[in-house]
Amino acid sequence: MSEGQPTGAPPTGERPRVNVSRWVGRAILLALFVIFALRVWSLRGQGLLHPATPRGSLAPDVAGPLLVGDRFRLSAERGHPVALVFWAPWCGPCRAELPGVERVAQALKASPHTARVIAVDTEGDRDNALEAAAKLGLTLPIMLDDGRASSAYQVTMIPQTVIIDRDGRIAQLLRGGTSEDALMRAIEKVENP
Amino acid sequence: MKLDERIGGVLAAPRRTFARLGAGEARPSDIAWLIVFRLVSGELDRFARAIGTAREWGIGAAAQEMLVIATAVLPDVVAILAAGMLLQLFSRSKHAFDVAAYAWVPYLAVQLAGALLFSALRHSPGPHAQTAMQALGVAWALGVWIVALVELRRLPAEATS
Repeated sequence: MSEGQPTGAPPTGERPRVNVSRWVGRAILLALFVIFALRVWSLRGQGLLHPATPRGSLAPDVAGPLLVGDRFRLSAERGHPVALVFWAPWCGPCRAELPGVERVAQALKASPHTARVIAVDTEGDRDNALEAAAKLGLTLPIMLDDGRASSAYQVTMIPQTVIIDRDGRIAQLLRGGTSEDALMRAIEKVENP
Repeated sequence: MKLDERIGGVLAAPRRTFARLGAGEARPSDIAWLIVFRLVSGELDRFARAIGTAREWGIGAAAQEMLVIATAVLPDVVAILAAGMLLQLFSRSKHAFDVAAYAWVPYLAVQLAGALLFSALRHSPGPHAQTAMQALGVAWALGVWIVALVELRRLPAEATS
């Protein structure tokens, strides 16, 4: 493409030259607008303004292998509250949060509690999960997610905790690192509504 | 120069455009608006979900989601800052950061062309196509950045400082 087209008015009798730069710039701005319009069009009627995990809705069933033991299936836990803690071994805030989650999980084993805590490893790599569990001293059940659980709960950031009540409905969503006390309070609130 | 000429000139007439941008016609807001618009159009579904999250779980949860969405353009912003620092280092121009930001335009153009092409084909780009688009965009942006460097160094000292 040639350079040096003048931007001023052409001399009398000369054909006006096209300012290629301006047209290329307009094409870029138009392309941005067209892509925006296409996205708006494709998102119409998808209900995206409503989250996949609205409070009180039936929690999507998730299943997967446990790090230690057989398999976990959420629907089999109906009858008592469940806290799903989404995390990954590479995630710093998750590693900071998990020892507190472990203590909550241990405390919940004693009466009168009925709730269970399941750590959902969004990376799904058994070796990495084993290494992290050993370093952090985790004994709570850890489910290895192949991506379906994270997708079902639209987990866009970790750590994230979803608390599900005894009827299998979403009761609470805790985003980001949660303190041991805050997690316990949220679970007790669901245990004793 | 107007906005469309400043942006289009980077692709159509880089030498002449960078000479004028380096002489003080660069507008940092041009690229800032392009980045914001690209973020909004590229991550529209996640913005919509964040609004849904705000309705259901409160502003705090939505704000966290917004921060995650904003990281989508973090590599672009870091690359622009790095390009600006290097241009400043090698050209000593006070407009180096403003000018370097325009070197991102070719990358944007490739991404837009790819997005339009795959929208027309009605399927998502595969990993090879994505890598090819990234490589082409980065190579073109690098080439344009070198042109910017040459033009800034060629400008007389009084025009750039």
